[in-house]
Order: sequence, then structure tokens, then C-alpha cells
Amino acid sequence: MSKNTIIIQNLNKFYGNKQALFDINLKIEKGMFGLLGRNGAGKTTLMKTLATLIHKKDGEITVCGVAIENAKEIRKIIGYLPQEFSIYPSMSVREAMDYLGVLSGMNRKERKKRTEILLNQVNLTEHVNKKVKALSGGMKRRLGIAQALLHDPKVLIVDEPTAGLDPEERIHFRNLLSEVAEDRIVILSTHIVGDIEATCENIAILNNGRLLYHGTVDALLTTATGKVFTKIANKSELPKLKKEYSITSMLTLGNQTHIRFLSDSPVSGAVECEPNMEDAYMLYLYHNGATFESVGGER
Amino acid sequence: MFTLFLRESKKVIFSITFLILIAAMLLMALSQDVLDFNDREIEMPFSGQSYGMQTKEIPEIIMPAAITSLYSEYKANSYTAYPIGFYKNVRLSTKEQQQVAEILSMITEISLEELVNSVNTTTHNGDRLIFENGKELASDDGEVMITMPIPNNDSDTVLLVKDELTYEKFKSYMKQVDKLIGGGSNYSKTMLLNFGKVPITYKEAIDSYFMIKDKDHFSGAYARLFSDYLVTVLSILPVFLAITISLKDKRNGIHELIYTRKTSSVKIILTRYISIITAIMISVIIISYISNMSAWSFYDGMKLDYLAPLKYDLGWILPSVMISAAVGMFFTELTNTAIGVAVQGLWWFIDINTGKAEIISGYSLFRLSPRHNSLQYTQAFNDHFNSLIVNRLFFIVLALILVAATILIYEQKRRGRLNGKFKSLIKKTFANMANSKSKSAA
Amino acid sequence: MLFGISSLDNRAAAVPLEIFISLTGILLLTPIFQPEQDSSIDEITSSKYISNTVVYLIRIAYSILTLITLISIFSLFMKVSASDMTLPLYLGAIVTAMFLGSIGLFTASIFRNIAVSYMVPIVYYALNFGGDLGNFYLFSMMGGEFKPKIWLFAGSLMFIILSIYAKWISSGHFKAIIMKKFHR
Repeated sequence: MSKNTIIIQNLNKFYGNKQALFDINLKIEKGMFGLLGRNGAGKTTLMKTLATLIHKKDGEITVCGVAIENAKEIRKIIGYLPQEFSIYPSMSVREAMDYLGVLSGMNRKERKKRTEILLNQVNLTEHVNKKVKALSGGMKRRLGIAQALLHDPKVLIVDEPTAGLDPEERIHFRNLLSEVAEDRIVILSTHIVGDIEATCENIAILNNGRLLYHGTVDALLTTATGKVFTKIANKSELPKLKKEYSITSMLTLGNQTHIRFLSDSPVSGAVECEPNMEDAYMLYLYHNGATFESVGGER
Repeated sequence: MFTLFLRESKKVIFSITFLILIAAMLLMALSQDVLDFNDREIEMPFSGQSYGMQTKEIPEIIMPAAITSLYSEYKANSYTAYPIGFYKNVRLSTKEQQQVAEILSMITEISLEELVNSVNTTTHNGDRLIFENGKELASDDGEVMITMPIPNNDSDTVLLVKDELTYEKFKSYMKQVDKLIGGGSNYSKTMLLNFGKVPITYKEAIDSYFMIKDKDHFSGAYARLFSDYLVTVLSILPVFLAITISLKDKRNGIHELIYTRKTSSVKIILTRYISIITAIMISVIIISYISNMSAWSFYDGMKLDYLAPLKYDLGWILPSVMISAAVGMFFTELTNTAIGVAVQGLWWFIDINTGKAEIISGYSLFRLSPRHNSLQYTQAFNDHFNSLIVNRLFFIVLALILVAATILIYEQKRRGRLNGKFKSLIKKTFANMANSKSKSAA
Repeated sequence: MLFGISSLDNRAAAVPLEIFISLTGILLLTPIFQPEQDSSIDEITSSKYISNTVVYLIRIAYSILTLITLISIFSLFMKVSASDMTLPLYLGAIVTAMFLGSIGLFTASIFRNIAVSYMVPIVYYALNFGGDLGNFYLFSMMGGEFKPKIWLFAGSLMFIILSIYAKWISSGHFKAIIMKKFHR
């Protein structure tokens, strides 16, 4: 069973005196796994630790049965797409794939075959001779996925992949990841709730280096049931409401404002409604000491 | 490994640094007249010619000449020295002067008392002429005539050494003197030989010719001179190439992608190193053959060593290329900066300048760029051949140790240890400097 | 002290100035464009109100002033040590350092590659050990020649102007102007 799972136990990580990860325990299985958290929550640190780029202070990690200390073996089974993906700009798409394939220890035939399949899968076949520097942000990101999948890894680690993509590219990219996740573990980190809502079944929420939630999206939504309300408010009421509740969305129409907010108990004049991921996420952060203002998410 | 080697070589060959390196090599060879030897035939000497001067270790000539020089320098308390190849005038303290006097009294017939009294009390004024003792006579038409006094200098009287003094003992005294002056003086081990200037005899000239003919087979002499010049630039240039290649990953943000690949650090660093060395050495070999072949036509029908350029390229130049590239890679991986340029640059600078003192068969152990600045002196080359071998092996081993250290550092960085601790420090200071500069500029 | 600076005659005094002190030019002038080597930083600073060219000019002026100060201190030191330090020698030293530095600056403006930027002036310096390079010979004062320094001065001005020009061409300002013309 552990052959296809990542198990993280009691993981701590320090940068100098500053602790970046506190006692993380996680079990990640096949399929898409979303790691949600604000910027600076420790997502990248966790991802890099899994990618063997950062050594851990203590705790235990096994990836598909291999201890993380055994970097060489780990590198064989993971594919990594860093937050800021770039490659020698003067190389063509084909050359870049080929070079990284060589570094993954693949032979010529394998490289050729996999490159063809993957570039087709990420829709870059027609750009195969283009220089990397001439690619758009979205194309570059797709190339990033293709290179990470080159050696057919069991685990794909993708750090903030949708940042800087336009909505259309973002949707395309998510679908691509879901497709890829059919036969491997894909770990996706993001601070954008929408990325995870659409694709992941299992998620974890990180905040200030601590794991706040670990479980399914449905379970997370359930925790928010009965705590999300909508209300049509007058302008004069707004300041008071803002002060008392965490508002997750606001739409102004003429004099009236439709607001959606979180509250632990029913509020008079407000209608209870079905929670979405964003509400649930905000509620989690709110319950764990984050202030309303600092929570303000992105969509 | 070969596939990776080809990819890395491509990066090397298509870098600007490599092009500049080739251009610099060609310029060096061209400006030193070693790219084309077609006006430098080594001819058999004929009797009655002047064959030039040579230095020779003949104690009977060296000892009196050295002592005479030392005596006059002692009297003026002004010693010439070239500790790193540049002129330096050394003035000794009273105590040190006393020690020199003691040594002089032990090797010459002059007594210590006489020596102490003979020291000039006036300050030495360099090479400027002093007119006080001359008579100035203005003639009627206003022309000033200056008659110089005939210098009543002891330097033209040659001092003699004590009969019982052996040459070995003399050399050890000179070593002490050199130490007092602070090294690089006329009495140091290498400079002392310069006192043994004697004319080259016909027999020696013809022997030398046959040495070149029989040992070097002519082509060897040309290859040696070529290496002598090229090794001076190739002791510094590879550092730039190594730094460019090593910085490339970080600069293009691709280092993490490479780190997470399965290929081992040993393989990555070693392939990179070998491709740098190979690219440089192939160009060296090509240029060395272009140079060497230009001399072949002089010796039609005689035996030539066609492999001589290759032997000298690999035996003489390669170790310097290896160490220079290794220093570049090591310091770049350690600090993520181009600091290696400064390290290798300083070493090279000192080496080139101190090397001026031993321009023929200068193969002391730590000599980064061994010199043999002549088509001649095959005998001297043969005599010192073993030191050359030791020197070159020493640098190969040192280079390999540095490469091994680079691999270790790379592996640590790959695991997130040691990562850019030096670099962040340097960068921070630099950024602060730059910031304050731009701010005040704005 | 590895080399003497006391009681040197005019030509001997040129040795430390031309051989050692000239190298400070490379150290001071070559890294001037370094902070903007990263193209994203370049784009940000280029978009600011004060044009990069002005910033560069001020930085270059600072570096040259630093250079002059250093050489002045060193020359004064030599003078005090009874060396035959003269005004032409002093100016010659400044010009030699400036020339080497301006080669580095120019290379940096074209290649955006730190190793190459240092390499080119050092190669040029090394070539001078090989022999006389005519009007652009760095070590002329050691042979009592001062005329090449005029050429070196002109050369360094040219390189400085060219490097700023090269930077300007690659900057956003230039692109903006071109785009404007194009759209008309």
C-alpha cells in the first residue's frame, strides 16, 4: 500500500532560528492532492522538501516506500515543476526536453518517444522548434509539465502552477493536471481556492507552517454547513457587518449590497446558504486565528 | 555519459566566453610570433660566428662577480630585488647590514672593521648624477662644459674569495644574504646564476644544435616555445569559461530542475568539467599544429617528431588548463559568484611576474605557468625534465582534488544544505551598495 | 610590500602604476551595470521617471572619482617615498586604469555576462605583456612614452559613450520611442 503513497510524519523544518514547518503529518494517495495556503504558509518549503531540494530537520518522509534521505532513488520517481519555471532561453522546446531527458538518464529512443507523446498532450507539438524565450507564459508552464513528466514519474510535484496564467489557460492547465493524475500522485500547491475546488478530492490547508486541515473537499464543506449566510444590506449597515463578520463576497447593486458572510450562529435577517470551498477555507483560517482582513482571498 | 557530454560541450562551444578564449589564444600566439615560424629556422652554427652569451654555473666566475656586486650594494646600502618580478629597492637596518658585513668578511679578505667603515654615510640618490665634484666652466660663448670626475669606484676592482671557501658554503652564505634582503635579490638561487655570464663556444653551439636535432627532432623545440607562451594565457582564461558555464544554470533558473533529476552530482560536474577541458584542448591542439607545421618545411629529409605538439599540449598546457578551470568551478559552486576570477587572477598575476626570473626551464614545484622562452637550451630542458613532470603532476592532482570538492559542494547544495550562504552575504552587501548608489543618484 | 615604491626614477615609478594600479579600473568600472543585469530588474528601473542613462552616468562618475582618489593617494605615497612622481605620470596612471575599466564596462553593456565582462579587459591587459601595442599600449610610461595615454583617454571616453548608448538601445525607453514611431 505504501508503494503508492507519500507518508509524512512529524516533519519540522527550520531556516536558521525561524521554524517554517511545525510537526506536519500527511498521507497522500494516488490522484490530485491540493495543498492550500496563503503566501508564506510553508507550501513551497514542503514541496521542495518532497523534491529533495531542502533537507528536513526531523521527522520521517517516505515517497512510494522510499525514504526521502535516499535522494537518488526519490529523484527517479518524482517530477518537479518549480514555482518559477525557466530553462536556457536559447534552447528550442525539443532541445530543452532532450537535455532534461538526458539528465533523467533516459536513452535516445525513450526521450524521443516520450517527448512526442508529452508535447502532444500539452499541445506544444507545433511549437517544438520554437526557442524557449519565444514561448508565452501559458506555453512555458505547459512545457514545464511536459518536462516534469518526461521520465514518467510516480509523483508529480507542482508548485503554484497557475500563478500568472489567464483564466482560459488556467482552466486548460487544471484539466491537464487532472488527466495526468489518473495514474499517479499529483501534488498541487496554490493559494487560489478555485484551482483546488475544481480538481482535487483530497486537500490540506497550511497556515504559518502548521497543518490546519487534512481531508476531503466534501468534509471541509460539511464543516462550514450552517455557517454561511447571505444578506441584502443597506449601505449604512455595511460598516457594522464588516466589523462583526468575515465577509467572503460582496456585490453592490444600486443602493443595496448583496453580501455573503461567515457566522457561527444564525444571524437575523440573513439567509443560510450552501457553503462553497472559499467559504470553508476562510472559515478554517478564521477559526485558527487569522484576522478577517488578512484572510481576504483571491479568486 | 557521452550523451550528456555532447550536450554540455554544445553549451561550452556556443558560449561567448569560449569564442573570446579562442580569439585570445590566437592573438597571443600571433603577437608573440609563435603562430607562424616561417622565418625562424634553427640553423647549424658554423665556426667563427658569435654564438651569444650564456649563463653557466662556474663557481670561479660566479663567486667573485657576486661578491663584488654584493660589496658595492652593501656599501651603498641599496639592494636590488625582484620579489614578484618588479623592481624593488631594499634598504637594510643597521643590524641587518652588520650581518651582511659579517658574511662578507667571512668569504673575502676584507676585514669586518674595514667593511663597517666603508659604508657610505650619505643617502643614496638612485641613478641620478651628482655634479658637485665636477667643475663647471663657462666658456666665452656661454656654453657650459661639465667635466665629470672619473668615478673612483671599487666596483671595477674585482674582489676575490678566500681560497678555502667551497662553492657549496658560498651558496649557503648567499642564501642567508637573500633572506636578509627579503627574497628575489641578485643572490637568490636562480639569480645567482646570472653572475656566470660566459660566451657560448662553437662546440657548445654545435652541441646545442644537435640536441635540438636529435632530442627534439626540431618540431619539439617549436612546440616548446609555443607552449611557453600559450600556457601563460591558458593559466587564466579557462577560469572564465568554467565560471560562465557554472553560473549559467542559476542565471537561467534551471538549477532546481537539474537538481531533481536522477543524474548524480559526480556525473554532472565531471561531464561539465571534461567538456570544458576538451573544448579548450582541442582548440589548443589545432592551433599548436598550425603553428608547428609552419616550421616543418625547413627540415626536409630530416627526422621530425610529428607528435611533439600533441605531447607538449597534453604534458605542458593541459595541467594549467585543468587547474584554472577547477578553480573556476570550485569557487562558483561554493559562492555562486564570479569570485574565482579574482582568486585565479591574483595567483596568475603573481606567478607570471615571479616567473620572469626563471624564463628558461623554470619548473619549480608551484610554478603555474612553466617557462622555457627559447627555441634553444634543449639540454637545460632535459636536465630539469623531472621537475617539470613533478610540477605538472602536482597541478593535475590539485585540479582533481578541487573537482572532487566541487562535486561535494554541488551535492550538498542539491540537498538544500550550504545553499548560497556565502552568496547571500556577498549579494546583500552588493545590493546595499548598489541601492545606496542608485538612490543617491536618483 | 612585494614591490618597492620608494626612491624610484620616473620610469621605474611607472611600473607599479601601469602594472598594478591600472587593474583597479577593471574592478571599479566593470560592475556598473551589474545591478540591472537581471532583465526583470532592468524593466522595472527602466520604467522609473529618472532614466537609466542618468543613473549610469552618475555611477560612472562616482567610480571614476573613486579611481582618481585612489590613484591620488597612491601617488602621494610614492612622492613622499622620494620617487620621481610627476603630473604626466599621475594623469597617465588614471587614464590607463580608466581605459581598462571602460573596456570592461563596454563588454558588460553588450553581453550582460559577468565573467565575459571581466575577461575581455584582462585579456587585453595580458596581451600587453606580450609586446608593444602601438598607440594603445598600456605600459608605455615604463618606456618613457606618454603619447599613447592620449589615445587611451580618447579610447576610454569612446567606450564609455558606446556602452551607455548600447544600454540605451536595449532599454525600454528606446523601445517605447520606436514603438511610437511605428504606430504612427
